[in-house]
This record gives sequence, C-alpha cells and structure tokens, in this order.
Amino acid sequence: MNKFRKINKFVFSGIWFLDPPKDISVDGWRIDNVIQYTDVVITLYFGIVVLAMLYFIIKYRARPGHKAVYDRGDTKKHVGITLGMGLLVFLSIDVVIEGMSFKDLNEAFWNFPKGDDVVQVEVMPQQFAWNFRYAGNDGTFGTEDDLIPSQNQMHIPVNKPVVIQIAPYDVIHSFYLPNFRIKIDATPGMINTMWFQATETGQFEIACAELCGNSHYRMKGYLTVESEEDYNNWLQSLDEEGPEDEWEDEDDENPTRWGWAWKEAI
Amino acid sequence: MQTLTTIKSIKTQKEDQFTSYFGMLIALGSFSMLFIALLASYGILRVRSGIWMSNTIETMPLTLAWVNTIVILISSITLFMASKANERENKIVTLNQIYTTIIIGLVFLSLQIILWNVLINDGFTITSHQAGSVFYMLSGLHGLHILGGLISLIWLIFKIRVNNLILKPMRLVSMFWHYLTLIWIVIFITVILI
Amino acid sequence: MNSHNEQSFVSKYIFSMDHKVIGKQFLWLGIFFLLFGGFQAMLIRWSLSNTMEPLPWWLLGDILYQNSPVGAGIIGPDAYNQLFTMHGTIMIFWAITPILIGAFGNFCIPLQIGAPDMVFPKLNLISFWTMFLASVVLLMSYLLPNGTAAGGWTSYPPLSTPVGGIPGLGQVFWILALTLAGTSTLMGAINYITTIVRLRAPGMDYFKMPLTIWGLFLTSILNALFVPIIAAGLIILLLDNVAGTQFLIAGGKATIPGGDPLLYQHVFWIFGHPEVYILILPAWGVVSDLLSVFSRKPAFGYKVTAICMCTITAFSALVWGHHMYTTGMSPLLGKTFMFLTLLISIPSAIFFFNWLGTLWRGALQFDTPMLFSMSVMWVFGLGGLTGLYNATITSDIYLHDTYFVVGHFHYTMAASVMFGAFAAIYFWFPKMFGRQMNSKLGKVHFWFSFIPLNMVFFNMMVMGYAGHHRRIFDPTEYEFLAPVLGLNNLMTTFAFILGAAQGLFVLNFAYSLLKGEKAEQNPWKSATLEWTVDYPIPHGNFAVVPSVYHGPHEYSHPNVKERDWISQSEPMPT
Repeated sequence: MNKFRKINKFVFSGIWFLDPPKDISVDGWRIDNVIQYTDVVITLYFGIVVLAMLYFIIKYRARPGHKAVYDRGDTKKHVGITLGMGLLVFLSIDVVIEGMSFKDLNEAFWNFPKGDDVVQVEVMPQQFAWNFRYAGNDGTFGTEDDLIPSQNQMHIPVNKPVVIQIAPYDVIHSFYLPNFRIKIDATPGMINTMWFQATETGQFEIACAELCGNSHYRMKGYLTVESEEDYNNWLQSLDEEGPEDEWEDEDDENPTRWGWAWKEAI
Repeated sequence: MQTLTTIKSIKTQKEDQFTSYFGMLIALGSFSMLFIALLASYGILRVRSGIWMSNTIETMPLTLAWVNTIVILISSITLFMASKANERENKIVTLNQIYTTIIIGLVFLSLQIILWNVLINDGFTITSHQAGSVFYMLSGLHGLHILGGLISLIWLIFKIRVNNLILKPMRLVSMFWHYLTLIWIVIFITVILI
Repeated sequence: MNSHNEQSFVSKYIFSMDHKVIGKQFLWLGIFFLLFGGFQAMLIRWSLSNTMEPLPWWLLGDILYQNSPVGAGIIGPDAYNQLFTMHGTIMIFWAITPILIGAFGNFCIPLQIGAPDMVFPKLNLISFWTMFLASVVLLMSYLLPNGTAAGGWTSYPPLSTPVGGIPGLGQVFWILALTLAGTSTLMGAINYITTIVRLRAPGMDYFKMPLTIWGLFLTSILNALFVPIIAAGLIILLLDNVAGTQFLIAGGKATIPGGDPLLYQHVFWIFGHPEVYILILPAWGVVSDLLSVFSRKPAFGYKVTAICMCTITAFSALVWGHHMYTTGMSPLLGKTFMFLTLLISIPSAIFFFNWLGTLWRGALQFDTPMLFSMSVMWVFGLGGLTGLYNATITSDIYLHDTYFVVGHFHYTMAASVMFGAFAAIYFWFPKMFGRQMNSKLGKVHFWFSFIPLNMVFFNMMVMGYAGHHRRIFDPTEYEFLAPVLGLNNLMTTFAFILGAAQGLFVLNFAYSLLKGEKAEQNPWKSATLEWTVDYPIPHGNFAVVPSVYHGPHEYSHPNVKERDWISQSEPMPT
C-alpha cells in the first residue's frame, strides 16, 4: 500500500518533508498513493527540466565567438517532438492519476456502505461549534429518542463504517478530519453525505475547513474512536443523562431543534 | 509631425464605422453574458421555489406588463424610422423621430413604476419571495439601462443639431436601444409570462 | 480629433487620451497597490508567527490597529480575516490586473502592432478613471467603523451576507469597488480586442504579432466574456446585503425559501477560473517574447505556442468545478470536471517545452529581464505541476482548503505573474521612460526575491501536505498542527526578506526614473516595432505607418550579416 511512500522517502527523502497527520482510516492510503505517485513523476519531470535549464545556462551562455542557431522550431520534426513530449507528460501523469482517482471514487469515496452495521450520524455545524445527533434505539432521526451529545464531542466505534449527513445551521462550514484525510462542505440548504471507517482507537481532532467567521480558527471538535462496547456504553449514557432535545426551547445562538429524516437516496 | 487625424484618414469612413460597430458588438456580447448569468440564476432559483410570477400575480399587473412590452416595441420602431431618415439625410424627420422615441421611453419608465406600485400593493415585493427578488432585480437593472439609453438619445439630439451627417453615433445608440428592447422581451417572456 | 499641439498639463498628464500616458497611470496605481498588498502580507505573516503580539515599529505597530479590541497595535481574529480578504482582493484586481493588463496592455498593444493609439481613446481615459474611482471606494472601506470586508476574497455567502454575522458595510463597499474595477476592465477589453483586430499595421498578420499581444488579446477575450458573469454574482450578493433579498441564503436562517448559496459558488468560479488565466496569459506572452530576445533566436514553435494559448483559453471556461470538488456535487459532474481540467496539461506542457526550445542552442544574455523570464519557467513549472494534485479529486479531498492550495496559487499567481510583470517592467522601462534601470540592483532584486519566494511558498505546500487548513488566525489551537509551527516561523522570516527586497526595486525604479542613465533607442536590440521609435514617443507613435515584413523574433537570421537581429519593419535581405 505504501510502496510509493517508501520509494519517495528513500530516493528523495520526501519532497513534502513534514508528515501528514497519522492516518487511521481505512481508505486514506488511496489518497497517499495518488499524492506519492504524483510526487515521483513530477519530481522526475521537473528535475529533467531544471537539469536542462542548468545545462543550457552553461552551454549556451552568450560569449565571444558563440552564436545562436536560427531555428524557428516549426518544422514537422520539432512540432512533432514537442507535441509528443506534451502527450508523454499527459499519459504518464494525468491519465494515471485520473485512473487511480476514478477507481478510488468508485470503490471507496462514493461507494457508500449499506446495512445494519453502519453507524449513522447527523452533523450540524454552526458558528462556531459542531452539533451531532444519533438516531437512538428506534433507528430513525428526528424522533424523540434521538441522542445529542455535548457540543463538539463525536464518538464512533472502531472498525465500523460510519456515514454522516451534514447540514449547517447558518453559513458554509466544512467538516475536516485530518486523521482520515477527508473533508466535506456543509452548505445551507443542502444535505451532504460522507463516510469513513477508523482502524484505531484514540482521540482525534475535527477542524472546520471553510471560512465561517471570526472564530473559524478555533472551531474545533473532538472525535473519539473507541471499542464497540465503550461506544454503546457512551450512547447509553447519553440516553440517561445527555442534554435533552428541547423542542419548545430554542434561541438563535444554540439551535436545539434540528435534525432531519435520513436522506436515503445517495 | 503626423497627428492622429492624418493617420486615421488612411481608413475610409466606412471602415471607421465598422470599427465602432465591432466595439459595440463586443460590448453587447459582454452585456449578454451578464444577462445570461442572471437568467441562469433565475432558472435555478425558480426550480427550487414553487411560487412564480405566472401563478402569482393578478390580471391587472399582467396587462400592464403586456402594454409596456408593446410600448417599448413602438419605441424601437420610431428609432428605426429615425435611422432611416438619417440615412436619407432628412434632419427634421430624424430629430422628430428621436424626440418621439424619448417620449415613448419616458412612458415606458413611468408605466414600469406604476407596475411596480401595483405589484407592491398586491403584496408582491422584492422580499416577499424569490420571484419578487428576481423580477425587481431584472426589471430594475433594465430600467436603469433605459435611463442610460434615454440620456444617450438626448446626447444624440445635440450631436445631430451640430453636425448634419452622423451615421456612427446614430448607429451605436440605436444598437444599444434595440438591444434593451430585446432584453425586455426576454425578461417579459421568461419571468412574467411563462 | 484635436491637433494635440497645445495641451495643458491636465489634458496631457491627468485626463490624457494617449495610451502611453494611460498605461503609465495604470502602472502607478498598480505598483501602489502591489506595495499595499505586499505590506498586508507582511502583517499576515507577523500575525501567524507572533499571534496576539503587538506589531513592531517597522510594521507600523505604533500607528496601526490602535483601536483594536484585543489591544493597541495587535491584530485580532476579526482584523486577521479582514487582512487576508483584502490582501487577496487587492493583489488580484488592484495590482496584477492594472500592471499587466492596464499598464502593459495599454503601452504595448498599439506600439507593437504599429498603430497610432488605441481605437477608442476616450473609452481608454474613462477606463482608467473608473479604476481610480474603484480604488477610492475600496480604500474608503478602511475608514468604516467596522472595517473592511472579511469573508475572504471569494466572499462566499451566507457568510458575506447579513446572515453571516460580520458587522458593518465593509462587504458592500467591497462589492461596489469590485463592480467598478470590473467595469474598467471590461472597457479595456473592448478597446484592446477592437484595436488588435482593426489597427494592425499592413503586413502584421495575426501570426506575426508578438506573443505578448497574443497573451493580451486572449486575456481581453476572456475578460469580455467572464467579467460580466462575476458582475451578475456581485449584483445578487449586493441585493442580499442591502435589499433584504435572499438569493444566496438558505438553511436555518433563511426567511425566503428557495435561496441557494451554491449558486454563488458556481457563478463565482465560472468567472474565477478564467480569471486566473486572464492574469497569467499576458505573463506567458511576455515571457515567450523575452526568452526569444535574450536567447537571440526565434521563439521556438511560435505558431504552436499561440495555438496552445488559444486552446487553454477555450478550455478555461469548462473547468470551474475543480474549485468545488468538496461541495457534494454529483459524481458524474466531478469526474467530468476532473477530466477536462487534466486535459489542460497537454497544451500547457507543449508551450512550456517550446520555452525550453527557445533557450536550446541560443546565445543567452542574462540581463535582469531574462533572469525574471527564466525564473517564470521555474515557478510556473512548479506551480503548474502542483496543480495536478488539486485537479485530481482523490488528492484534492485532502488538500482542498489547506495551505497546499495557497502555495500552489501563489506559485502560479504571485510568482509567475509577478516575475513576469517585473520582467516586463525592467524590459520596457527604457521605452517608457527613456532611461535604464540599474542593472546590478536589478539582479540583486531578482535573487533576493527568487530565493525567499521559493522558501516561503514551497514550504506553504509542505504545510498544506501536513494538513494545515486555510484562513486560520491561530495555528496553535490545533494539536495536529504542532509539527508545523517551526516551519511557520521560518517562512515568516523569508517573507520579510522578500518584502524588503521589493524596497530595493522601488528605490531602483524611483532613482532610475529621475537620474537613471539615458537609454539608447533599442538597448536590448529587440525586433518588435516599439523599439523603432525613440523616447519621448510622440502622440500618434509612428511618423509613417510601419510596414511589417516578417515575424517578431528574427534573431540570428543567416541572411542578416553583421548583427544578430532585424526589425519587423525592415525588409529581409536576400
């Protein structure tokens, strides 16, 4: 999976010399692969260009006795070579990463998991916090047994697919999970869907990746990935003690009456 | 030292005219892009909203809109007749037709304002629903450009009184005015009628 | 037309209809705002590395932000958002556009095609003063009690509407200023297109025009088509801000159903993507020409380069969705945009190889304009290649809205376009002002710009790869960003060096203007038509309409003995 990363590290000691956040997702390797393939090929091509330029700077610098060769570069041969080189670049980089990406989108990112095992969470960002909602025992959203944790606290079980639907309260936000390498925008008036699956437990950060106002920079959430047992216990605790969904009480600053019927068609 | 005039005299007057015509075409092309973007926005908003003008407004304002459409069409006809008179170098008829166009243009603007008043009284305002927002935005922008067109028609009057043969300015102003008529027809059909 | 024999100071220098004067007016305006926007960048870097600390005296800490709610002389989160918003807006619309398109478009087009002036001189005059008005409106927003716009240069609604909660009229002034700037650009586009189509000297076929003119021509076509589209977006955004409409507002805070924030994004980027090509096409044209002049051989594959530029221009209209991959668009749409975006690689790579071909077997002269032109190859190479990561949806899911994108567009915009502009300024200075800029200072300016610039923006991409998301006032808020903080400080140091180097440029420019060595008529031995007239160039440019005999890059032609160049208006010896 990470063979490109190894080549990269060995040969180039990595162009991007700072590591991305630890990847605890099931599909993050796809993103890493596309990036690392692109790294290798563009280093190759750019490297050749730089070497060529250095060579030209030395060999063709103006000096007494040295003349330029009059060449318009418009013969069939020259045009053919430049066209050919352009196509080579396209075929070796663009076509490959496009193919990889199409595959990734079809196999993973747009291939939403289905079934009873899937954890469903509704996410509603607002200025400047994250709200989460779980369906509760009846498995349906928008009912009285929905569970709402404290703001900014999201829990998911490890090794289980999690599908989120996201719609913001006020302005555009973006749900960004650095440790999963993914993000999805939350646009008012739209409900967007994204899925991911964690491979490790721990506590990780959620960030907002779309400017949403003057506290956008500290709109931080916490994602706790835990064993299934711990997760169920946590849900249980919400059921017993968590903040209630006050259907009557609502103010502009902290909307509590939210939640939508889960969008089925994906 | 050669002046601009001397060098430009190499081109014939006809070529010179084509140049202005060409420039005006590009300008109208740009305005069309603006209008297309606004129309596309209208289209998208309309699909998302159930309420629209054709199923909302009363008969009276609709009739007014029809009348106004005919009014602006007449203004284009009178201006066209002015162009023809100008080509025949008939100064008096040209001026008269332009005066008429200006008056009809003012009638159009007045009727627009009356239309707006009727609609607002009926509760159809710029903030009552998306349909209202779109209608007032488009008709407002159009009205502002009509005002600009009227000002250029007045400028044309002064220009004709000073010179006798003024093919180029007449053509440019006409292009703009007829374009505004066309835009109104498109607005009328797509926003009010359908 | 008037005889121009008796002109007052006002009609000669202030309300002039001469393209050369108007070009210089745009140059002053553009350089002013370049420095203004650059200073804002220094403030941003200071704030990122010294968050919530008072500004030092050399960043005007005793004068600025005295009424800041977080402490005198301290940039707070609100002010930070305003800073990067205005920095982006100013650099794009008030620095690059006036310098490359307003100044060099105006100056070079009539001269290089052999015309006496622009075809609509009055329109040209109005275009400049409209831009001036736009500048006044923009600067006035600094006097507002709640400050300037703060929704990013992209100003996405609903944040940029009253629903977003940013107080004050800054956004409204921003919209008005941008509308005026767009109007100015549109007037310029009409002028440039018509002039190039109608006023080329006899013999100047389209494929004999300098590539600078090709760049400006294609830019103007894009401007004429797409500036009106952002005007449409600005109109509906303005109405949402002042008339209570909700075209672009939806969700919990909407009271009129049916609004669509995504509509703005589409309209914005349908303009926005061609806009980035608008900004870079003139730079590509200038670099293509200058590489030829300073290699003393023709631009390699001239016709192919021109056709590639046309292809890219056409394609630029089809790819805007790649700015919106994470908005939740349908898979089919996403894939289509990815496919089309990646196709642009082909013509880009081809004309880049043509640049290499120009250098190959040349006789390279490393004057300051050449240093900057060659550096464009480097920064555009890097910038264009790193665009691939953003074009591909898989990698873009991670890199979107991170510093990777910021690094990428600073390489393609700030670096490529700005270095292209510097190349143009150093190159045409003798023709514009009759004097030479100091060559040594020019080279120092180059190296002290090139190296720090790479150190800043390459590392920005590194930060983005490490996951650092954009528009963050205080990176210490997040634990996952801790590894990045040291690099942050390094970048700030280099940014300050980059900023200081521009001071060198300003000094050189100002000094050379007043006391520089007088230049000969054609110091670079360039073949294009503007070098056949001597400074000061009279109104009407050419005493006799030039006849054009061949292309603009006939350097080192075997038929020409004793020198390695021949002007476009000189017949080729047999």
